[in-house]
Amino acid sequence: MIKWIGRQLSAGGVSLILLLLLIALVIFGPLIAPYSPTESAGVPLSRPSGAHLFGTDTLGRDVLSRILLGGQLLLIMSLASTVLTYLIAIPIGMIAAVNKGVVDDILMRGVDVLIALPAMLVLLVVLSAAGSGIPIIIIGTAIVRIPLVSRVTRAATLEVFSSEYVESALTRGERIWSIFIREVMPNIKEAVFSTVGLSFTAAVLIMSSLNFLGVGLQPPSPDWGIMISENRSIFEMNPYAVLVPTLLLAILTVSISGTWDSFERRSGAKRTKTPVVPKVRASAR
Amino acid sequence: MSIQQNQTVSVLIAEEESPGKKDASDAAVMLRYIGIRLFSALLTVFLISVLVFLAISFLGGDSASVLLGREATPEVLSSARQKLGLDRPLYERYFSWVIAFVQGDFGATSASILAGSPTLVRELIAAPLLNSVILATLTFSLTAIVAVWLGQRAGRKPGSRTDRTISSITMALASLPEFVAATLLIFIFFYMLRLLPPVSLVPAGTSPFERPVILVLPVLSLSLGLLAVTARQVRAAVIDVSQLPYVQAARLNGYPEGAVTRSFVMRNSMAPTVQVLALVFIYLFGGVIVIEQVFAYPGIGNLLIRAVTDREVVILQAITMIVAIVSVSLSLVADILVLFLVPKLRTSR
Repeated sequence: MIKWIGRQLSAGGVSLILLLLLIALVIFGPLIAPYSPTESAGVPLSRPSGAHLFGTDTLGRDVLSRILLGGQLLLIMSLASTVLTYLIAIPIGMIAAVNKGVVDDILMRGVDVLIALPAMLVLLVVLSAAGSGIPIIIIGTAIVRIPLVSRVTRAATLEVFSSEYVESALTRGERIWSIFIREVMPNIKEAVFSTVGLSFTAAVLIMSSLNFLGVGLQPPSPDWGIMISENRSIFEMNPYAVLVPTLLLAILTVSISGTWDSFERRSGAKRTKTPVVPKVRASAR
Repeated sequence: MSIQQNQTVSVLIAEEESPGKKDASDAAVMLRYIGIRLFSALLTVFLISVLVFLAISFLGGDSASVLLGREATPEVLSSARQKLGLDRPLYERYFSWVIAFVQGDFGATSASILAGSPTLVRELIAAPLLNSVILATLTFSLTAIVAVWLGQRAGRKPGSRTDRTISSITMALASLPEFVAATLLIFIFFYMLRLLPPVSLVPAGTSPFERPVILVLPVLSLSLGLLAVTARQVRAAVIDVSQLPYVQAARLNGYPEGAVTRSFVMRNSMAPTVQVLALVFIYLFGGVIVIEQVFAYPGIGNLLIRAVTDREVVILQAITMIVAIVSVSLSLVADILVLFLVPKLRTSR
């Protein structure tokens, strides 16, 4: 029986289940949190008990409630910054591919600059320059990810542009934007899409590190990264306050990349080389 | 931070342009290539210096008012600005900053200038920089050796049990944030086993080597993620090279597998490996910032976080430039090294 389950569950399957469980926790957690995450709810530093399943922290806040709310903002912000990355990076990459002059040069220089510096350092410069508000954190995290995605887009677009169907679209006078949308986008979809998993993991990783370092979200907001850093000094008194957020963050990041990895491998096996041709070509003059 | 530049490497390698013209001799091709790389490295450092300077001067607002707080009177503020040189035009400030930086003068912290006794940033940076270099070098050596070994093992037989095991473990490790890995290690090695210290304080004026045990956990937690990323890149490089026609030909000619690996695969997969290792330094620094904070290790990352919270932009600028110069020159060195390692790249194509 156990063997049978083991065979049914690939690493990807386990990751997917864990990821779904975590997402459920993040969505429904706030609804079932027994106490306020930011206000004192009991005796400070009390050990786990019936009233406080994971005990309380130095300020007497209920650790369980903070944990239940601690992933929400992180996930929303990571999602927002990933979306932002692609909204900016895909047009940049496509434009650079066709505009082999100044635009391409600027893009490549930008990439060189951002690759030469660790993402964390770039973010610290951005945050100390622009202040650490939620929008700044989202934009900053998107910025460090843009060069890579736009480079992938650029390379894929270049490949598509050397094909005959783009040539014929150009010949029949299709506008460049229409080519981008009708010919290029469907055919670079997979190359670009394959980076989404990594981008999302990277966003979670960067944001939780910023929160841990104390330059991202600010206390008292409940956040797993903040909880780890503020409760490290009370590890002996209440280990759950550190250990549970740590494990949740570990499961979150590992399950995202595990799920994406197996998803990629599966769709990679099915992937064919035939281009996606727009169905209503005739109407495009 | 380790995972996110994962694909950068393959992109970088894939887009490497074939240097030189057809009729030029090998040496000329190499020199030309090195020249171009040198120029682009200098350009990158220049651009970083401009961007960092502008970002901090423009967006950062007025550091005089930040330091003095809201209650400061206009007279106090303007005299503070004069002391900090903020009344001069932007380009003038940029050039005097660059010229001083090139001469090794990183300026003094704003707070100390206002207090009347300037603390030189160079003196503030020196000891933490050394501590961080020690941490980074140890981590780098450990990572390089283990990752290359693991990557070769996994890449030799793609899809085999060894490969699958190594690949899944490295994938999991590569996606862990450094502070999460560190916290888990502290839990195991301090709270459970009581083997290693959870903090790595180094008293001022001493070297971390006086108590080497404090280096174990920081190095270990930094290496885990890096190791994973690097091993995956090495694996990909080995697989790519193994599928090349000349390797297949060597196999078909009946060379023993060991000889094929040693003489055909290893050497030619060195090129991407060396480039990956140069990038490892860059991720390494990102990790150093976080890990030093976890272990309260008095390095440059610790100083950096303090500079950000205290708004000491001079320190931030200096550290950013040092890191930029080191990482740009490392990738330059790696690119040149690759020319010597892989004969194919040297010849005029």
